[in-house]
Amino acid sequence: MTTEPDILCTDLVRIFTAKGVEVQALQGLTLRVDPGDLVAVVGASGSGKSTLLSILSGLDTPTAGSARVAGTDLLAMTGRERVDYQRHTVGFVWQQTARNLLPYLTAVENIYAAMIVARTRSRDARAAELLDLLGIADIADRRPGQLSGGQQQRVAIAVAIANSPRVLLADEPTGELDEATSADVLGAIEHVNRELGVTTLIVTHDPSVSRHVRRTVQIRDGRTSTEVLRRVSVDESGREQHHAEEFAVLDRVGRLQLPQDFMASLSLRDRVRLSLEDDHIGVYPDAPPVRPSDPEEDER
Amino acid sequence: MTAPSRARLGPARLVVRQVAAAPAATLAVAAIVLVSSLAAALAPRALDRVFTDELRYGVSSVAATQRDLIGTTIGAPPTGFEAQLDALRADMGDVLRASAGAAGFVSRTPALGAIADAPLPDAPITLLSVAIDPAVADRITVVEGAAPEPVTPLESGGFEPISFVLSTESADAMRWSVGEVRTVRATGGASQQFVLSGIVEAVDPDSDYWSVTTSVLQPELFDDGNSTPTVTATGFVNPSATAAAWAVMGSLSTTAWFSLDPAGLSFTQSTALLQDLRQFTSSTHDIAGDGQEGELSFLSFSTGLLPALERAEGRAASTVAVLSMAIAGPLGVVLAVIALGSRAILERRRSGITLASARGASPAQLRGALALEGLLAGVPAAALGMLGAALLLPAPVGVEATVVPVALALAPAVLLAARAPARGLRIERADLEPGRGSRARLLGEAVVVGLAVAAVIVVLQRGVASGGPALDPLIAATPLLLALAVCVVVLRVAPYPLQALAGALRTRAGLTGFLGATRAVRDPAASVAPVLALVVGVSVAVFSGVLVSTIDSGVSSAARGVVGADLQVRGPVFDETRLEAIASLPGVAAISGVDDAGPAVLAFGGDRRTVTVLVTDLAGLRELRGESAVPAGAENGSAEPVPAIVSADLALEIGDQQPSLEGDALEVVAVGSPDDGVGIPTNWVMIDASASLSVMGVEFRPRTVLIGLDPGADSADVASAVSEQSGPGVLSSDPASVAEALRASPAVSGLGSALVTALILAAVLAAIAVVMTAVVGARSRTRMLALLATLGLPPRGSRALVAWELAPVGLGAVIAGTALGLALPWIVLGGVDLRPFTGGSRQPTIVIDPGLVLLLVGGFAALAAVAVLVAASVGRRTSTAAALRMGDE
Repeated sequence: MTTEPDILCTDLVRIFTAKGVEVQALQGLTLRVDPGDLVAVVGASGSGKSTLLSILSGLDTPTAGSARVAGTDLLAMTGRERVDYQRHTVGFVWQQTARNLLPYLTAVENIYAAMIVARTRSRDARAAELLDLLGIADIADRRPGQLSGGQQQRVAIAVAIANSPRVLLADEPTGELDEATSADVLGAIEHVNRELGVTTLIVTHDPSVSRHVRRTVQIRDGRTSTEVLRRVSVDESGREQHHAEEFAVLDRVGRLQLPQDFMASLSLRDRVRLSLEDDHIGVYPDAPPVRPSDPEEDER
Repeated sequence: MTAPSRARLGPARLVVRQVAAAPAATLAVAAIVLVSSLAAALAPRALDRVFTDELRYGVSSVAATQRDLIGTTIGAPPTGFEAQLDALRADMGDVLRASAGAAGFVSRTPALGAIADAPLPDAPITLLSVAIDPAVADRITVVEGAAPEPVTPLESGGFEPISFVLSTESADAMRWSVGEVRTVRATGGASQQFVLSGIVEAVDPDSDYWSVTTSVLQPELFDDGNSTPTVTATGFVNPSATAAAWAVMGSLSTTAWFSLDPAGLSFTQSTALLQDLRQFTSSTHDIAGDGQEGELSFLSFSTGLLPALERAEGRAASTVAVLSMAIAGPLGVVLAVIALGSRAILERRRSGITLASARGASPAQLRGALALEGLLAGVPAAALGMLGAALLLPAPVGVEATVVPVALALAPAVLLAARAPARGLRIERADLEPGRGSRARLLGEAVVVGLAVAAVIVVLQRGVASGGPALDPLIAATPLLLALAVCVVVLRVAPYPLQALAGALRTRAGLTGFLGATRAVRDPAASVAPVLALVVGVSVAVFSGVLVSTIDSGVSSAARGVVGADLQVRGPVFDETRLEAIASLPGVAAISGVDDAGPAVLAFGGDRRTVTVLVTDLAGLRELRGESAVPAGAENGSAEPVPAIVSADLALEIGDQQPSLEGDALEVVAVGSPDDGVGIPTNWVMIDASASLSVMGVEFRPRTVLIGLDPGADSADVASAVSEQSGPGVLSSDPASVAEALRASPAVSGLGSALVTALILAAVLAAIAVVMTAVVGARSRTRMLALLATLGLPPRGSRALVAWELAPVGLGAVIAGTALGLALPWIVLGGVDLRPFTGGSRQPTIVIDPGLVLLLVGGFAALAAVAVLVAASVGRRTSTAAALRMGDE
């Protein structure tokens, strides 16, 4: 692809230090999301996905590596650039309503508030457009407390994209919702992504989200480990066929993470043997050593 | 699609909506601003009122006749004197001119014997003086005979009989009938005939004029019973007869005056009036003459109003100095409480700010929104406060009186904007990294302590600044700086005993004690604000208490110094018989006559000094004051050198040199304190009556008697007995009545109520600060309590935990505040002149009334305890589930 990706993280590192104890939340994460793409980042609790989102939304600064979102270098942002970035480049939806919506404003007023903060012009037209797009016109004058969880998240999505950001970030948008409502909210995100072409990144620990996205990136120990690509094809009988393929992520210097179950089934530990074949690389357990100098060590 | 009402949602309305959504903290700040700006706006008005009362009290204590600006000079008024006086009036300062009336003047001759051609055998000796007043026609009316004619000179020198008028009383006393001619012999030997042309009455007998122009309406009578009685009276001659009067009587003195009516004068004007008066009275005004002999060429004026105004001014200056010290602390606390309030507002706006910040609100936007909220909280409240003050106490106040209320109006906005986070709010755990930010804290603390130490050094070095500027910012700020320094110390020191306590409680059963102590060490909720409020409150209370007892005892001791004994009587000369009669009155234990023998020259070494000599019965004085004040042998006036008691300041100057008084060698047998001088604080020498004639050359004629009373004797009874014995001219005073008169001064009583107000204000602020601290800390506490509730902590444990948050530091603050309050008088009272309050001649010694101090501190501690209990019940209303969910954020 020749166009620049909307999100490009390379070897991203974030270390939290507290009283001499270091926590490496991100350990060289690499992620690329192309414009208009809809990507889910999944991972267990503590895998670093929330840290990634904090960095992408401009709330946190990485320790090392590089992160560019829609042409903005997140490591070299000035205060003014950060404000501009948060106003016009990214929009986000968090898990808790309290972090998305002001409780004392109605749904439509929340949308206005976001535009007021960003000094967006012609707010009336944009607000009407968003109410329509997310199908929340009928609840526009209700306050968050009077809305169901799903409605709240729809309003939150409207607020997030009120200033026409290039990138929409969503952190566990369905975390507090039941399955049916979750599907509904994810549908709304898909709809927005399709209609507005806004690049969307959903962070979740919920594997079911991946059914709604074309691409799912798995984070493990602060690093992207695998990707699942999904495509839909129509077979001869006219039925939709869903294809999912899992890939391991390879970084620039050639590091990759082997899936946990692969390692377990072959008892791969400490060292493996590699062999280069014509069209693939073979990975073998570290059998009784043949030559002491031979094995190339996995760095972990 | 969108309703018109939505379209109007703009940045300002967004802020208003936010405030309206959770207005409690904002309203609390507004209430604090309202009350404090009301108090701040009322204070100068109330002070102005007190000072104006004091001024009027001072003015009313001056006899009406002594208020006028009066100047008397030897010499006749030149022609155009009136116009020149008008020019003097025109040159007065504006305020003085406004209260000064038109000029008047009268010229008088000395009184000379007027001898009838055929004197009656029992006729008194008559002395006549004549007065010339161009405006005489307005002052008297002729009731018999005719007005005086102009004089006609005789070719042989002298004049035709000069016609003049007398009042009925004077004419009767002199037995001078209309038309009768008497001869006045001038000092040179020449004689002139005077003829009484008419009898007059005063148009207004009550006019001040007659106190200047004496012996006109009422003649002066002298009859000592031994020799022929003498009548002295003044008559008016024709206004054109000035030169003749001068020529005949040999001398003429002219008195000019401007009546002064400062009634209705407010305090703000009095400073200007005082300045104008000083300027007018301190200079000699040249009068242009006609070049004739005997004309006056200058005039200088004086008024009894000047010392009264100066006294009022002095009291005002000292009141302002004391109050500024008592008020600066609470004012600092108001700011601290507003800061606390803005922290509470910020807590309420946390989610909104975080969200807006994440959505790209710039720091300027956040600051602007918070400043707007601060303005909403501060400006209307302060405006209401100022308006309320203006309605409650209408008084003319300057722009400077609005400085504090305006500052209070803007304080919330400034504090909120300053606290606005650059990148949203994140809750930080203080317990993990206690070292973080400690360098900034240390620097701030060092600055505060350094400033406090510097202020104390400067204040101590400067000493009493009497007559200095009314408001000394350094002295005003010193107590606040010290309170801040004490806060720093309390906050630094408190963790150590708490740590020990936590260690001790670790092994005990029961969670709250250990948890409370540990939290107080690791995550202290008590910030500077509540500690400052308590320290300032307690120190202001103790300081006020010490000040009140100091002034009270200062007044008493000053009164005793003025009176000199249990009772003092003054009046006619108390001769031997009268003294003996007084001594034998029931209830009188000891007496000592005192005669102010006037100024005399005291020489010592090469120095000569004019001192006041007090001649007294030293043996009697010893009975009054004891052996230590008057050593044995001091009454031996015939000894060589003469024993004498000298005032402390003189003793210091004399040192071990040999003093001599009017040529007689003195031996200093005792050094008197300022209170021993019977109202004369310094520069006096006291010798015994037996030495009066030999040293001073005058008989001992005491006009003052100091009386010591038997225990239980009533001074009023003795005073009236003395009065009965010695005649109506006897005045008496005792320490209690003198002290009472001093305490009746509006400034002294006003100071008392102002201190009480400051005390109440400080107490209320301390209570608010304690409760607010609990409110601000509610968020983190409820989260912790919710967690503990899930672990099974009973609800009453939560109250104990709140108490633990505040009680240890509060206790420390109360102790430190008491210490500061006790130390403050020694530090700052050196810089304030308290003498205007006590009426004494020296700064009163600091007196601590332990009962009063205990009462004040106890009251404060009780109030703080109640506030902690109230605080404990605040913020227990959040449900456990909600609190736990909040914790996820």
